[in-house]
Amino acid sequence: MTLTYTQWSALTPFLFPLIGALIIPMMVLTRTKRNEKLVRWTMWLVTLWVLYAALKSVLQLWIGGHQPSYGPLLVDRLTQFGSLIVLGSAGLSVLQLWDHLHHEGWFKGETLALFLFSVAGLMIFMASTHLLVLFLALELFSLPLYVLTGSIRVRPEGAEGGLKYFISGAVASSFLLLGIVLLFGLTGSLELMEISQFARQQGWSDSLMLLGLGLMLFGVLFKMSAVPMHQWTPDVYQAAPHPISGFMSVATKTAAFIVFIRIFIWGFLGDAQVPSLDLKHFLSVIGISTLFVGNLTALVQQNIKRMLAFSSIAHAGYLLLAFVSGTEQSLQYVFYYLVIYGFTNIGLFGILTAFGWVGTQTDFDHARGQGWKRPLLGMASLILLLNLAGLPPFAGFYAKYFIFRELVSSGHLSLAIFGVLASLIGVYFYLRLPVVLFMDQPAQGLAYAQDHHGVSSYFWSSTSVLIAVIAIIALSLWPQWLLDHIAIPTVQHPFRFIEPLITGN
Amino acid sequence: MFLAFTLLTLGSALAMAFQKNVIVAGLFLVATFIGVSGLFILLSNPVSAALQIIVYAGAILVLLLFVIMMLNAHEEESPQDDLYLQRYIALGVGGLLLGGSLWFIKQSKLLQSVAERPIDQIAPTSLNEIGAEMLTRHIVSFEMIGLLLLVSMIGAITLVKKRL
Repeated sequence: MTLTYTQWSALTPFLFPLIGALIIPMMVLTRTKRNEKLVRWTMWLVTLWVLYAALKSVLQLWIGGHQPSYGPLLVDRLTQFGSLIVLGSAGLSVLQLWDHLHHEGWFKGETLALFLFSVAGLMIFMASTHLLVLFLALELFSLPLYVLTGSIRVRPEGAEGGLKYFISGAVASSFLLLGIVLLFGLTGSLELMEISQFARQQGWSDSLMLLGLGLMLFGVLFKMSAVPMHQWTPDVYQAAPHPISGFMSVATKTAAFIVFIRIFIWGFLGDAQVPSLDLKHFLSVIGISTLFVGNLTALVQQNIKRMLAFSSIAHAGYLLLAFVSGTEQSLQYVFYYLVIYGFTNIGLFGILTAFGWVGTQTDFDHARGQGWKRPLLGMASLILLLNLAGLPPFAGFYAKYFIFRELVSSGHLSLAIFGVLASLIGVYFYLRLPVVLFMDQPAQGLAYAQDHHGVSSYFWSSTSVLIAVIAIIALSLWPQWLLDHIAIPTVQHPFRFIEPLITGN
Repeated sequence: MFLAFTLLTLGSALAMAFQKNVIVAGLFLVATFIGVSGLFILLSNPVSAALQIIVYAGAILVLLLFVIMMLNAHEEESPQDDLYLQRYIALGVGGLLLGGSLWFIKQSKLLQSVAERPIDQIAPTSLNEIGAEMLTRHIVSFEMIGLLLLVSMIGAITLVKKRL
């Protein structure tokens, strides 16, 4: 079988991480006591290189404006946008993984291989237009994440978190699978386009069809950690290694939103003639409850990682609210928000690593007075948290402001007011970390475990934090650039059927 | 025939769920799979029926029984506390789910039309055709299943091996 040039260009972004993931386990086999350091460096550099190569191939497609496809894999602007976020956050987490795994004394090649499998799975998940491939990709990125959550075996809570994630994730996957099966049974096809064609002829109102779509929606909501399916998030983020938590909070959520858009907007809201699926009321209820559960529960957390987990739940709420207004602009703002949120969250989890807080030592108590030891990192955390809270000079403010403005102009004033209230609550707990870092005295009698391992490397995680902070500052200075060059093209090109979404408003 | 296989499937599935001894429950699961494969034969799909027996009843369950026997956990452990409230809630939610799904099935008009739809494009049923389909039309899914197996292998090793 020969592939055309276009087909190759569609496949290359997925092939790079997969090749890396296949090579690294073999490199592990060559490891002996003597060359351990060399193998470690090589594995890590190979991981970084394949991520860079994949990023570059996606960027080339993006800049050239190509949208190739191979079979069920469609590398359109939507996929490319998501892949850029996934690959970027993966690169930053790999930088942090070097430090964190050394702190924990658990630098193993399998971790990097599984990580790359997960990256490839996420990219295929976003690209697939075939529901079978979609489900397989979901498993391909979930299984490594289950393992990675429990990967640091010296900590018992790692295994606990991994098992929790595994069981709840399996339930969510079965929801998605059952939904897919129902749609397949009714329409006789697994192709997204054929299903939507069928539905256009037959209408959406059939009860089993709605049930199937609802089940699929729940599967996707789980990965976004939106409210009825959010309980796994804090436990898993707390148990996982910090960089993996950061990666999950950015990449998994982005992929879930892209797939949500792919299925429910790109796929199914195709035609203005037929009454389309009305998700607005449902989404507004889910969005508001996600916002308030996330923000209110984050208030009482004693652990920084749990606080960040609930904040990531809350951000899923803002993003879901953006879909309620249902205009083309609101989609652009979703993409805008995803970029800002991605940089901020990956940077924040990097700060945890860069401060050298390992294991469970991520309570606010452990952070007391630590800011003076590393003032630059403390400042970075202040910038990133203010950005996450959405205070005016920073890009996070524009992201929230755009979404609320769109809500108001599409006549959902009350939702916008709720959103603003929720983000006001958010300011309180976001500012708690900088306050603790700089204004409290160091706690007495708390052991810091990084001293036990005797290794303290902070260089790479600090670099990743620096990249994130620079990106955030640049995006705050030129907010229009991101909108013009990334967010708007993402919406314009793949959505051939974007008009009904607007007129259906 | 259909009724017999359905009863076999449902009956042994229920028996499995209520069985206290894990090994006997596993054997009931075999009976469930045999019932399902009978249903496949009734749907004139012998390949799926054979795969059902070879893969599920043959390979997976034998492995499962091995694991159960090795772990030496033949009897179900008695719960530490009875959680009566949760039991009733679960019963209620389960009943709601059952009623809800029955209602959904009954409401669906599309289901009727599916039954009346002429069978024009039959999916490939011979092993030959299935193999060809897998390596041409479904090549991406096929490769991804391979990757998935590799991932689960690496993951399992990562989680259990003493010294990596």
